[in-house]
Amino acid sequence: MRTETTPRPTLLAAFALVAIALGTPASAQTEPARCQDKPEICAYDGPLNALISAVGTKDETRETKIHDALRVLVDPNSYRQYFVLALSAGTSFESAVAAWERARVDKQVGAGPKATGTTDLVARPSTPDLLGLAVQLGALTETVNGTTATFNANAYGSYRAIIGQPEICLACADTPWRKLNFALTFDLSHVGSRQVPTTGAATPSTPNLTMVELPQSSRQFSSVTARYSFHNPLDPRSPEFKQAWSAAFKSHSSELAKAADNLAKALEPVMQPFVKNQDKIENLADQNQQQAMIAAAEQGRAALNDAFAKYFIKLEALARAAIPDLDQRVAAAAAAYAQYAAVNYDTVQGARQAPGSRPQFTAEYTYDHPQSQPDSHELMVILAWSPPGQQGAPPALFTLNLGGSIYGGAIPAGTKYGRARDFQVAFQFDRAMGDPVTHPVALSLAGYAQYQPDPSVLDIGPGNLAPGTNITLPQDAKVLLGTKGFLGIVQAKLTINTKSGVNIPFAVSWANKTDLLKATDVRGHVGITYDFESLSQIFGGK
Amino acid sequence: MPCSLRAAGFHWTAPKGSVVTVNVVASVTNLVRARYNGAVQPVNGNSTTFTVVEGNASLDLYLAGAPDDVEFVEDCGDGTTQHLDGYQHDFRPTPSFTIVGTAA
Repeated sequence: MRTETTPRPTLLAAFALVAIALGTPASAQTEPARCQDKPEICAYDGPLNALISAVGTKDETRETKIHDALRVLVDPNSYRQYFVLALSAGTSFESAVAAWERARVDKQVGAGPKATGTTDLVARPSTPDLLGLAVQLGALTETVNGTTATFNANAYGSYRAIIGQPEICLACADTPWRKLNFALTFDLSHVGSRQVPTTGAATPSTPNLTMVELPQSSRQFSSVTARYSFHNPLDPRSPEFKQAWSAAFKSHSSELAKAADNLAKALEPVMQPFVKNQDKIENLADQNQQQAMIAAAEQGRAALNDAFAKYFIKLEALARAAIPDLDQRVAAAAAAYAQYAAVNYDTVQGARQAPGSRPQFTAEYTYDHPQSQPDSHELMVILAWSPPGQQGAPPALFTLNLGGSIYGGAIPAGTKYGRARDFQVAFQFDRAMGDPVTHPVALSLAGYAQYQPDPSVLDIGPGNLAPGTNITLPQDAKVLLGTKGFLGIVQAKLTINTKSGVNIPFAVSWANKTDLLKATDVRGHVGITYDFESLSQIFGGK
Repeated sequence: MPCSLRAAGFHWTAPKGSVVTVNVVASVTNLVRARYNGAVQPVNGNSTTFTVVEGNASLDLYLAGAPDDVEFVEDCGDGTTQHLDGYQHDFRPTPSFTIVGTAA
């Protein structure tokens, strides 16, 4: 859930430009910059590192590299995204980027298809970049509807949030930790009870009851999931990626050009005063300033941060003197950058998922702890592929799930069911609708097939009495409910991506049976999901 | 044919009327749009050509791509090039060059 209180860019406010600005992987020389405290240091993180790297160069390219690195730092017109990010007040940029990010059709925020309360028949390949929360009402394979809350956390994004770094950086080098997500699902709807022996009647009129049923805390933990995404490697030197990039660029060229024209319109009012007053900029960045920055870079990142921060104060003052409505212009430029970054992201994704390249691949393990059923372990592979779309069309996604689950724990001797619980295959098509970047609605059509070799197992639980007797059943008492075989479900779903960042799925599904009952089943599902990207502000990040 | 652009601090100078070609040398970074002095310029692959005007004007490039090693060079027309700027393993979508056109 977003917070909207800070005047500075939040995490998603920084998303697109940070993706651009922090393209250089963090190195040992980098000291984490607290983006809330010094946004200019955060925005210029890559160029500051580049200057440190340049002064450390030992060959004949040293002077050229230092000049190139200094130019980025002292001349706001050289690479305009850094200056805009450093000054961005955030709101419009934040809205644009957040809307785009949350409108992505490939994210799995809620519980998987077998959970009570789920609205998702098929697991999607991507997950939130920091934290996600989904509250969902419904059920698909389960007989009983439920309400669940699912918390999603990305290992790398959470770590960066805690140390105060921007969590999302599309252009950064891949790290294995960024591909690792965890999810915890809690069942909010079930209330537990247990039978306990009495010590006799308290009043003469009370019949002699030996057992009574007492409410107890519900076993709310429902499942835990670990998933790892095997994205296609983004290696600009590989011939395959170059070829795929060339095709993707061609197919997105008019979209990119349109976004570039919008960006140019927004940038010109910010940058034109700098172009016309290039001499003032270069006077500001005189030889002393430049030498001070080089000397600071030789001392390390902390010294360079201080030197650059002092310079940026003067640069900002110069800009404010030249452009009275600087904040408004920067906000418009930031929003245009967000749109441009979104189109570029889609183009890069198009190259990653080009025909002939591997589809996006995610492996998922789930430990499921359902109410009144034995625990199970599930392994699933998720394959996703985006078909090449028409220029300017909203994105689409095909997703295939293949999985199987086994019962956990000891299986009592002589039981009539085996270790294997079920095997599943599922397919989904997602099509975003409306605006090609922030599309307010997404349509999903899905099919799910599950084969169970044995009927479902239902825990009776300790304390229950055998029917018609006073015999208390043992702790591992279980019954089979006769629904083995094929379970098929189809689902249609509309997900509304609100501007406030809340996504609301509405779905209707039909099933030939459920896990416990043999009867066709038509249900409605509703949920609400949030991306917690701005939670990082609690930890001091953006 | 000699190069037209002359480095001067963090900007460049060139005689008014000079025809300048700038190339983006990269693996997976493409030139989407080029604007000079506020006007769209023709893009041919990863190159753009424009005529220098008098006074201060900006050559604004709009790039698409992934993290890459990128160099911006002036194509001097005689098989040689002149380095203007560059960066390594990065994506910077909007590089610009301030060019001061001098009286021919």
